Amino acid sequence: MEQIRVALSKARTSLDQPQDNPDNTAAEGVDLAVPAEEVPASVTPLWQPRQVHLDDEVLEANRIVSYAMDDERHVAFNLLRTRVRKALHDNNWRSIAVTSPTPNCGKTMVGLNLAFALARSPECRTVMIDLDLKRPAVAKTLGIQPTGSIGQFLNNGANLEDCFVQVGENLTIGVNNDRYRHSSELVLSARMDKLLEFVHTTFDPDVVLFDLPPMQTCDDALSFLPRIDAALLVVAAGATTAQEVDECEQQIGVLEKLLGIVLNKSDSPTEDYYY
Amino acid sequence: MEQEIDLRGYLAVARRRFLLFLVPAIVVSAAVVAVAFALPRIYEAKATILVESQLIPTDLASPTVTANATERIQVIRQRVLARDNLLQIAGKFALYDKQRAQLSPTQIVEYMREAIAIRQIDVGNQLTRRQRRQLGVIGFTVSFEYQSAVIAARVTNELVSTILSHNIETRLTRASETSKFFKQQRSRIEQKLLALESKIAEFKRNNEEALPDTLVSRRQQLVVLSAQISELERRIQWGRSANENTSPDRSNADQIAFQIQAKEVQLESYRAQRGQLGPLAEKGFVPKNRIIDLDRQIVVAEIDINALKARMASADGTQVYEGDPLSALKAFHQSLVDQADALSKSIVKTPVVEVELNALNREYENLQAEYRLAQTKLDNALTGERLEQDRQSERFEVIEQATVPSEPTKPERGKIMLAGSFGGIGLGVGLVILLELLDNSVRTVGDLEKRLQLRPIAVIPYINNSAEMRKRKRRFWLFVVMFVMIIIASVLLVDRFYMPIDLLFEKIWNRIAVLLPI
Repeated sequence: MEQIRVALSKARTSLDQPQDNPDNTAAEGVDLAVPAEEVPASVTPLWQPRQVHLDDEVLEANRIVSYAMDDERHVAFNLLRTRVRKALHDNNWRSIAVTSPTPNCGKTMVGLNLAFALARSPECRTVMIDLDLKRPAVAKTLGIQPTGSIGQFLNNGANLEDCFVQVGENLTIGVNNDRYRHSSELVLSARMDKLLEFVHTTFDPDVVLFDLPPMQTCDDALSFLPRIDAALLVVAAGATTAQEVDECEQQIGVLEKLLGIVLNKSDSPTEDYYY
Repeated sequence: MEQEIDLRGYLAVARRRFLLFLVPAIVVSAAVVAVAFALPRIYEAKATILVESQLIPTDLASPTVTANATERIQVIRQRVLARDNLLQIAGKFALYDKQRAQLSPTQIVEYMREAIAIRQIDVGNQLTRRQRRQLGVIGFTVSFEYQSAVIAARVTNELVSTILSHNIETRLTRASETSKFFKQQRSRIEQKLLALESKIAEFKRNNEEALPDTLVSRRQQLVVLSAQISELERRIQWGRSANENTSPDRSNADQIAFQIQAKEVQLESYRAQRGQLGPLAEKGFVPKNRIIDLDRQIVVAEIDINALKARMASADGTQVYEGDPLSALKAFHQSLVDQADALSKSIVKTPVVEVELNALNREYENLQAEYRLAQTKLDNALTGERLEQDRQSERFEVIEQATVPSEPTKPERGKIMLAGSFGGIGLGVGLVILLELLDNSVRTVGDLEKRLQLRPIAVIPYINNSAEMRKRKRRFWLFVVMFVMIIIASVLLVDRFYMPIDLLFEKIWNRIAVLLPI
């Protein structure tokens, strides 16, 4: 009985600790040197990105259906999620880029929905990073007001902690707020390495998703490809021409990093979702 | 499986491009409907004319107008469509008045030519051509199209009367021309005949002495004359010889004088006889031989008298009459010889004359035959003229006058609207097909597979947020409302312009009720 009481009190104290931290993220500097191994696996890390609450209406307006799960259409992303996980597992991949041949294919939407679907499994820690330095859409889609911006970090070394937010338990999102003309250079800069290291050490994710700009508008995606394990090519039915798909698929395929093609905005009637 | 996808694919296309199809279709259909109703209504008035064949059989009395009806209708059409005729009609009825100011006469004539139609009525294809000709059933319709029904009817009737009067005029003129022609022919031949007659008469006059019909009598005369001549020659001879060796013989003188008297009395009686018998002979009561004998006797008597006188003169040396009685005899002899000469010449001439005369006579006969022929033709022509005048030959009868049409023939609204709707639909479909062909985006998994041999690892349907859903709902209801309105509008249109709806339903019901197994 006594042992149980001690254990319980210990547990209570350990539970109390994470609640203090969100208030301190702004004040405390993150010590990059703090090794993640020092922190016990079952206990949350020292630093946590700020938690955000997502507005359902905004999500619905922006077609994010995998978060709340009331919409029956999220099942499509479940399929995607499963296949992605299988591919990751088979090939031991960890980082995935989400891109498309042309703008307005819905890659941010697909990427976010996939991230939410992935993050629903407790054993899959997911980090999504908005690397679209030309037209960042992640924050807008989620309705988040970013305090920091990855672009700023890459450009002039702003604080990295401010760029990340926590959504739910398993999902961290790196937001971007700025547009840079020299985005491809930023993406290839040394700071990029730092960013990647930070992410891996701080969050220890199972999957990292990168939202990249369209392949045919700029070369960011192409130049970033060597840094990631695989890429998802999102094509929009009725908008992307076969030629565009072909080209991009070839470019990715040459590096043998094509995870798969996602046909978005399809209007072919599929089976009714009866779940 | 493939079939299913295809059908669904088409449905998807249809749904996607619905507006692109609908808008042009509706716009074009609406435009066509507007045009169909805006077009001015044109009425057509029609009259029917029947060509009645001649009642009197043609072999008994043949008409002079022999062209067949089709040709004649062509001729009529040309006449009716002649510029002057049309302009006159246009003026009379004030046609195309509204546009008169801008229309030139040529244009008016063109309009009218298009508006007038003269069509031959076909009796039926079951009859052969010969049967048709025998039946003589031929007719044609005359019609005129115009914006005003009343004027259309009036103009049509005017055209009909023009045609009829032209026809009669034509026929009469033709018939009278024909008879006039043959009259002229005949008189021409007549004149020729007269000329030839006088020529023959002149010829006969000129060759009177050598006419073939007097040949026989002339020959006889020549024989007689020859005998007289030889007699005379004997006498002359006798007289001469008497002259040479006679002495005045007083006692003979009295005898001779006595003989002379006797002879003179004889001569007188001969002459008297001759005088009596002459006219009778001419009439043929007395044979010519008798006359010849008498003449001979007269001549002989004269010769004797002269001879006696000559003897007496030689006997007493006195001249009883002027000149030497011998020379008188000689003169007489010479005249006889001349006569004989003339006769023989004429006899020689006669064959030639005969040939010429025969030729002239033949010519005359030919001319007479010609004359007879011309006369026959003239008779026929006159009969034909008579037929025409009495209207007994083939004639045109109006069996249906033009009435004021109650409904317009043009524009054919139904057809126009139908064609327009099809055109609109066609246009819409065409546009859709065009865009689909031009669109080379990937649309389905099938597209990806077929074109790029790629299978996507996921297919995300188009996710509508609530705003879009609301829009879709609104559009859906909008379509429903529009559809209902169109149905109502078309029902109203049909009711107003075509047929009242209850009547239409009754008609349709009657048709269907026959088929239903009730």
